[in-house]
Amino acid sequence: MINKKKRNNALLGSALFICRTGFLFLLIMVFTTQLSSVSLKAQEIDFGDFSSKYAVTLSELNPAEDLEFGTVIQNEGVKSIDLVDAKILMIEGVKYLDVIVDITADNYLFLDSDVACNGTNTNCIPFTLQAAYANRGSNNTNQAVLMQIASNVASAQFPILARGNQPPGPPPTPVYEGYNPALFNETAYIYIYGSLNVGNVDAGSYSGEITITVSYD
Amino acid sequence: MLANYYELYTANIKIIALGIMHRVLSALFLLLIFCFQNLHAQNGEDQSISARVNVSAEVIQSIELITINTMQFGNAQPGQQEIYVNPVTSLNAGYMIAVGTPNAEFRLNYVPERELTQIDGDGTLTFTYEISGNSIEDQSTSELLELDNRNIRFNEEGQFFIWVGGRVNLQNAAPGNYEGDFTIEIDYI
Repeated sequence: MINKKKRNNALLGSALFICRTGFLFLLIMVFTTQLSSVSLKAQEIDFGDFSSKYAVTLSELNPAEDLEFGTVIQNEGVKSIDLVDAKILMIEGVKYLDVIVDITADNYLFLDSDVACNGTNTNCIPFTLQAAYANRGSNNTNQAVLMQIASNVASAQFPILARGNQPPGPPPTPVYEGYNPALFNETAYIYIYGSLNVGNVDAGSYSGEITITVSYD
Repeated sequence: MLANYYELYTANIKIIALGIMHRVLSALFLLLIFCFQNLHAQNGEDQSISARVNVSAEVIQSIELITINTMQFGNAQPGQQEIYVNPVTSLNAGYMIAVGTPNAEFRLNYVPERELTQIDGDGTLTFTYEISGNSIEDQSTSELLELDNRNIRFNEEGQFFIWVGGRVNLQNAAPGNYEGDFTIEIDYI
């Protein structure tokens, strides 16, 4: 009977040991998980992480207008829309926060939306995207900053309101009861333009699409 | 009896211990899942908005001007004061076809007076052109294209028919052969 008691005590001890070990193991896992998530962002205070509290809107200055090249003639060559005639979009958001802007354009304009184009067909026109932004609080192409573009994809990260030579501003004001976003919002402007290279293509209506995505950093 | 009671007692302790362990492990497991979910939720907070902009262009056919017949003056007779080729009625009128985008409107311009130069001499002649046009291939119903009706339209096949004539004064002309250029300019409106 004493042996049985010892054996049962040993079993109980083993169970408690497993329990403790498991607890410690899981504790370490939880700790390392949290630690890893923290260490990933340890170099940066990223107020955009809390951006779900803040709204950002993207709208067109003239919604009814396409990026319209108008009438072009077969074999006309390069036809450009310059920065001053660009399609303008407005980003309204918290002026302290950075936004990431990605602009992706079709490589070709297609005849009557027929996207079967391999670059040598006579039913598509090569399109070259250009883009810029102005974040000094006014719609002014003289203040525009050209965006880096690769393969008709333009990307940029910038604050809604340029800081200039000033140090970074304070953290955005938390949303509180009676919070008035207009006090903290500003508008940045996106300019989209580019050029076509019109070769020996079929006559008709050509169109393509540009997608603009904006998010807080 | 005591032995059975002891065995029952230790068995209960084991069950209780295993139950506690199970609960602790379950709680920690749930905690772990919660942490992961929280981590993912935080990443998922990134809001992004997007918009689409259309790019468009209307390509029209380039304009071609095809000369079918050149204008013929024939030989002027001695004492003849003037040569006149009527673009509407004369078989000597030049004949051209403009080809472009069907139904597209265009403007036709030309310089009505051109100087012809003598090939073997220094003489010159001033030639005053007249042009008529039609959307069908029929010279006799063509209309003279004056300054006020030069905004015209290609037909459904993208063609417009042009006849060229004119007049030249021979009063002071030296005998010989003369030549000169004639330019018609056509632009889409």
